[in-house]
Amino acid sequence: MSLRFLPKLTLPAPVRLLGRFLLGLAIGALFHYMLYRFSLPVQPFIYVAF
Amino acid sequence: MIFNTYWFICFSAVFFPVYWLLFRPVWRKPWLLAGCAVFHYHFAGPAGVIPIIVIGVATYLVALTRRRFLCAAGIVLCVAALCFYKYALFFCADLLGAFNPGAAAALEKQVRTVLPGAAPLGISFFAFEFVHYLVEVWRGQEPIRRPGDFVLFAIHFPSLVAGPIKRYPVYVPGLQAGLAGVTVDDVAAGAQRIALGLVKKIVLADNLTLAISFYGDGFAGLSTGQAWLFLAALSARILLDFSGYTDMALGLSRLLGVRLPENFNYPYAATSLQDFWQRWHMSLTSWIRDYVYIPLGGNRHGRLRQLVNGLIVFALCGLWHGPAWHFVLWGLWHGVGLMINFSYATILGSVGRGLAGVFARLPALGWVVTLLYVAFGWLLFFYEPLRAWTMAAKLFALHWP
Amino acid sequence: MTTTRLSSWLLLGGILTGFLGSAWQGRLASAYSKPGGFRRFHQRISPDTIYYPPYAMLEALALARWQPGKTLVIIGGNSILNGVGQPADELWSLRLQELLGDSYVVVNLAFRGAYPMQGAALVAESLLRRDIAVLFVANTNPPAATGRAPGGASGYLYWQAQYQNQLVPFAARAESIRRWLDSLPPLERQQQAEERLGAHLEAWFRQQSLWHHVGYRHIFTVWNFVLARDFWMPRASLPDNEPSAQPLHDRFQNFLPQEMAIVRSFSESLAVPGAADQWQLEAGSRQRLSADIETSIVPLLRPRTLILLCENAPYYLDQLSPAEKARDAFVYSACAQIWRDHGIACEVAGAGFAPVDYIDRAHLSGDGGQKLAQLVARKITQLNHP
Repeated sequence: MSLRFLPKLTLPAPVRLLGRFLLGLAIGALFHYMLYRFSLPVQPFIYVAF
Repeated sequence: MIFNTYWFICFSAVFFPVYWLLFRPVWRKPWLLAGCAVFHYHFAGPAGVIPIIVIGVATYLVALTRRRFLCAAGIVLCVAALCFYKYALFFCADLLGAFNPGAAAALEKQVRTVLPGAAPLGISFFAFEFVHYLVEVWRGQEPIRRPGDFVLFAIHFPSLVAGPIKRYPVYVPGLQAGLAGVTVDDVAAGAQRIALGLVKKIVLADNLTLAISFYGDGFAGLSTGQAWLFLAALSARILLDFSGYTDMALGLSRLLGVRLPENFNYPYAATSLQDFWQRWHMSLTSWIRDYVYIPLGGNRHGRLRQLVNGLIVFALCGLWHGPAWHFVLWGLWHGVGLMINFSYATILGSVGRGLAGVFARLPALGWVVTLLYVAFGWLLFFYEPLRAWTMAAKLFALHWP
Repeated sequence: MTTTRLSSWLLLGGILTGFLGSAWQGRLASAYSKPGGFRRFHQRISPDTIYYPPYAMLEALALARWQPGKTLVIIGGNSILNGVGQPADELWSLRLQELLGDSYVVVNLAFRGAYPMQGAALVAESLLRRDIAVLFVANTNPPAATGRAPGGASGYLYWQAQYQNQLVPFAARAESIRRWLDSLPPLERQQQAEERLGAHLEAWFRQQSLWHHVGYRHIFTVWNFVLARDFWMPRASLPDNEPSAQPLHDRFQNFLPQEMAIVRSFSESLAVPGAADQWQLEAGSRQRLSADIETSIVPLLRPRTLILLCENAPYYLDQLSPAEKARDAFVYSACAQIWRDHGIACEVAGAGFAPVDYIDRAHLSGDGGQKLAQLVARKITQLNHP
């Protein structure tokens, strides 16, 4: 998969910084969601059995 | 379980902030050692920790001597421990049992009296890392002198249970760098990687696992289209599950400032089987290449020997995944695939060269063939051979047996 | 500070804000989130479909029904009182509300597979502690007795209630649970430890409240085989679809030998022959049942509780030998007396019920639900006005 074009997409610094903060918000919400998911029947990792 | 447990969340909530606040390596190191030990003991219990301590201490001491025969003895010990804990019952029931059922039953009874209920946690990974260490020392590399560094190499908790399989010449300097200073960039990158792993594992793979387990039981009743969808889900699930785990391991290690080797590089984008194995479970592939394939002779003794070595290596690779014939067959499936991949252009003469030309001009065709080959392999990986065969037949609307 | 470093700080700041913001939303949701038009925890909002209503939701449902000056009747117990076998409009607890009239409000918080002291009982305990007029109704069978508050599919509610400080301090219960935990095999003990830790975290971060709310109102994110392709749909859009009973001749044929073994086990595990062809409760069982009640139900709740010992369907009882029938009748009546000896009202439910009142061995049809409602309404009135 060629993702070489990505570095050429340079966004203004404030937009990039805002994007990082928003990504952080999403990850924070995801971590909270994971606390909920851990209570449900959890599947062990396949490779832990190896 | 392991990373997706509340215990681990609580452990992390205490462990990481303290690690970051202890600025000096001399304080950080004992804290990391304690954290790794607590993690290992919690998940493995005494029955899982004691054998690792024994082979770990032996490995460390043997390597310090740098005597080749002692290193060789250490390697034998590691392999023997792996065989004993993981394969003893398989050897009794499935191998010896085929020739002498009576002796197999008697031996199995004896083995069961000394074998714990489950193999020590992560024994496959411990054994491979210790063998790597001893082989490298045997080859003349400097051993790890400081016991703390060796213990951390052995039980670095992010990679303790399922890798990636580390190389000590890379790990130890990385550890020193991590102990010397974790930056906010490390923590941010680690958190991002953990989030990616959680999405793959919890959001995607776990849902697929539930669905696969349900539809797998009723596979015979699926339509052909649904059966193909099932195969796609099966293939996606193992990638998401294992690469999700690896992302979490890499992310957690990055929170410590320590970079672990990558294990995946878009394996389903591979355009040939050889390419696939350079992208899938890379730390295992490179380990097998360095410590089994090359010592067996690799490709240095002609085409036939290369092919035989390939088959042996992949059968062992399959067996490493578990003591069952379907894993061996899965390994052989890939061994045969690679054999064809390497040799068809030569063996088939002008047809082969023409075919190779087509694949070279149309990478998408190679991608489709590789993906299908790998996907069919997963049937062997997850199911008993007869069931896998029946499922494969069903994909082509055939009913066998 | 370099841009890279600033962007890392912003990401970490975002993570912290996102997590704490979610926890705050969860705290808000724990106060208001509850199923709309609630009648019971039907299959699509129950652990059967990986929907585990948090404790706060149970309490919110009960409080939403309660009005000052009225007595709140909280129904607990298992699938029998949940109304499995009764379509939503024929639910026995709706009939109970009609029979009791305006001075009572009824809320059915029974869970499939729950023990009487799980879930709803904890809500009753918590509200009584706040001086709200509550009556609690639950069912069980003679050998199951009270069951244990933690453990099983509904046991998580106990840990949540406990760590949210909703329960009355009760040393006997705490000690009994501690002994039970110590007796578990390592794997189960680890599972219980995980459940407890999860409940601890719920008290702080309210992850269950928020994400069950999201799952009910917006999108559900966990696959399950009951809903299969519809697994992602908000549970609010999936109505209570409990089917009507099958025709009578199809109801009792499935797993007949296994069901008969269960019917027999209810009494044969508890009764031993005594003098003069009489049955008596086996001493150890009597002691166990008595200890169960003593260590499970807080004294505050006992005078406000009605326990129903639900009989098996007549189709099965009719197949017992006369001696087995006598043993069965003895065990039900003797066990009911043990409950009463501890100051808890107890009735045997099933006397006078016909085959048509059941949909299988244990669950009541719409007709059976009507009869149950009449029995319970009568007993509730007596309990509230002794």
